[in-house]
Amino acid sequence: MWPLLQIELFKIFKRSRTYISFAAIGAIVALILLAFYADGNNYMAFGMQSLTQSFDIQGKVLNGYLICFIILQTLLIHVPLLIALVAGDQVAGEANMGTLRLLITKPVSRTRLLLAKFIASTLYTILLLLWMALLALVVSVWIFGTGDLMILKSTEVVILENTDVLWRYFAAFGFAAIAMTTVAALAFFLSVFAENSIGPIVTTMSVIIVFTILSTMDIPIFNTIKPFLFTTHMIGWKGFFDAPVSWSPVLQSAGILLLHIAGFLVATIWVFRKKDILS
Amino acid sequence: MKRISIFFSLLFLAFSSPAQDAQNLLNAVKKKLEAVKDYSGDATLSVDVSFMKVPDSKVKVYFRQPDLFKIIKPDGISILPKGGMNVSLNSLISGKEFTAVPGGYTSVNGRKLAIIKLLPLADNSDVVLTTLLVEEKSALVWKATTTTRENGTYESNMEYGRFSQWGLPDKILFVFNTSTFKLPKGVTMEYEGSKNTNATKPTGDGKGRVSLFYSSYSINKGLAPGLFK
Amino acid sequence: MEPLIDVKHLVKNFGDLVAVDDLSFSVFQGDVYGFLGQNGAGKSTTLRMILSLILPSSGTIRLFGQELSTNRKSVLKRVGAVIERPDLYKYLSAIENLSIFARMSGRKATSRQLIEQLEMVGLADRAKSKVATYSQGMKQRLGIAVALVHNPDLVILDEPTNGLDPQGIADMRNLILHLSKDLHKTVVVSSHLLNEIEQIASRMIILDKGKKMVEGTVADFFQPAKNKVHLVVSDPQKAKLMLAQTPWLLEAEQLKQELVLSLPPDQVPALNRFLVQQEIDILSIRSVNSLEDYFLSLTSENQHVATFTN
Repeated sequence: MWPLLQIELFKIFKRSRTYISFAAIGAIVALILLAFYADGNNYMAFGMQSLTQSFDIQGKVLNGYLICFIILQTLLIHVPLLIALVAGDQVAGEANMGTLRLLITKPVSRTRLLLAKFIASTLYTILLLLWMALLALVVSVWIFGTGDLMILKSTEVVILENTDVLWRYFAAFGFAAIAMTTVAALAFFLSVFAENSIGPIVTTMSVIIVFTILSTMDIPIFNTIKPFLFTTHMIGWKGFFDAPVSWSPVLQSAGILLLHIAGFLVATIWVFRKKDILS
Repeated sequence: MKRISIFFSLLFLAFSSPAQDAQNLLNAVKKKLEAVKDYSGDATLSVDVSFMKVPDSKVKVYFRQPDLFKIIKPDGISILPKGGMNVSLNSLISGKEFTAVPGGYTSVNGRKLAIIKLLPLADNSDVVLTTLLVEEKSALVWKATTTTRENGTYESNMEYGRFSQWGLPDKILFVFNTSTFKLPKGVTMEYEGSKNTNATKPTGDGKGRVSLFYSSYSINKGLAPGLFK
Repeated sequence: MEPLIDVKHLVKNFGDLVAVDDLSFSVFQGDVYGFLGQNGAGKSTTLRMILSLILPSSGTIRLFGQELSTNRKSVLKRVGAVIERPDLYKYLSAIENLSIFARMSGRKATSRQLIEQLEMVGLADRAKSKVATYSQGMKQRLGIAVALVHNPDLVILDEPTNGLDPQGIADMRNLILHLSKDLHKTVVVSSHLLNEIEQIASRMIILDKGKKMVEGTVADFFQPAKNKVHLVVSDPQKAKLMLAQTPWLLEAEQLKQELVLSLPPDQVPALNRFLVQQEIDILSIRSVNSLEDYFLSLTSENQHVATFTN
């Protein structure tokens, strides 16, 4: 298994498209940091309008922790595209290049090949998140320092003590890894059906965008189906920023995402084992 | 016309005694408070507002006459209602001129307290009316209810102990009216799991509470005005 | 001798289409086995089933005496293949491609050994260039190197000459002969061009519409008894009447009034004399002993004649 995984990782990280994602995240984070560095206090004044009408807020609200939260909130909507770019390419890309038929004639079972490819995609996902964590958390804190984290939610304001924040980010990135792996698993599953990676990538993004809109909109008809959309659970990392952490829904969401991952993976293997390679 | 002026004179005489007492009591309170030129205190700040989840935090409280007052959480964020500076009796009363109107007596927790209503003499004062419940023999204010032009009505409940000779409380409970807080979910990208736990939280009585527990005061050691900027 | 490839009653359906229909054949050690058929005859589908790319609808495939479906891994270790286009990872270099497929085939090759492998196909000097920069012929050679990198006993080449120039086709022919004669590998090669197979194959199979038309040694197809004479005469009706009185068998009457007779080559002069004596003018007489005609005659209604004679 390890040699197969090495080969798949080698193939992923030898491709220039893999680094588009890292560059894109770097650019977005740099832009957000620059914006906050130049004009952060105005953003804060604007963002906290509803609160400052009746409250005096003292202290450094604009700090590295807050910026990391904003970056996570902003980026985790876009990262699925970058994940799909690689995961959706895993099988479809090989089919498109014509290398799939050579790969399948090798004395390696299709299941193991898929597992190696999926694990490689997951490692890519995790590396991308680590890169994001490095930029969003380490660099933000380096530039803006730490402090209490104030989060405005739709109906409440949460302030978390400086010393009570960092572990929540570790947990949040851990959760984000599960959420993004779910995206990878979906793109990977769709990848089996296509002979061109555009299809799985666009389909994955469409599913996620439509589901996210349904998850986010506060409309009664949609509310009943919300619990059944995996995108509803993908923002579970925010649960770690409740005080106290609402463990049971967060763990439940993580469990549901893990079930999705397992489901997609099993379906992928099931379909691919029976698939005739005609590319 | 003369009869009217006599009536007023009589009226004045009839009430002059309690009014005089109220003014005297106020003066006693002021005298005690004005002995504190400045202080810095260490306290624990607790915020209890229905839509806020704020941990109790260690804060520094600074006061300098006449009405410079600030609560700072070092390296952190502190959140106080607007007009929160009036949490402090010192900044409310110290160095200010009022007309004191007596309001009788009441009893709180078995303690007999005199009621005095204070009308600020300054025209531009934000405070419209302050009602104090004062213990006469110690000249300690146990409760102050203040109505302001800008920030509504709020009340401060004081408890005294170690610093009563300076008129400084060990504990202040500050009660104020809160409006609700709402941002569109599309903006905040709410996590549904959080909502479930919020639902169990009582909606409250529309009032917010902030309490300060002082652990120590450092009085009249001199404070730079720059601290209050 | 046990066959290296033993296929029995193989069937593959794609929906309503029967791509391979009850196909049985055997390939023996040392064969250069030709797979011949028109496009869509089922050659690729069959070869892909042997390589486990496509799962059979029914039937059995045994390689090296083992059932493919249950011994896939051990069996495929001994097989190398180029299927249609020799597609490889374009963003990787030749040596990186070679290394990946060597490892996937279970061979741990040093870079020295990999370079040697590239030398064999004349690509050693371009070992570190990205495949994207390769010409079609170079890709084909690299594809062969990849197929051979783990030293397989059986080499399967599906349409290896597709897209190659005449020189490339000749090189491929020599390579196949080299694999067979010098390296003693068993080679299965498919083509829709008879003359390619004719020149290299020791045994062959002809497929049409998924069915086996004929299988055997190339020598079998050249039996004198199967010789054909194509005849164009001034008066075909009269010729037919006259020929009916002779032992020579009229097999067919084709377009342009061409008559086809089955008779050995040594009787052609006698036929000529007989027709002249009957005062039938001979416009053309042609003795045919080529696999190509046989192939044409076997496969469906001689369609796409151009395909076979290009």
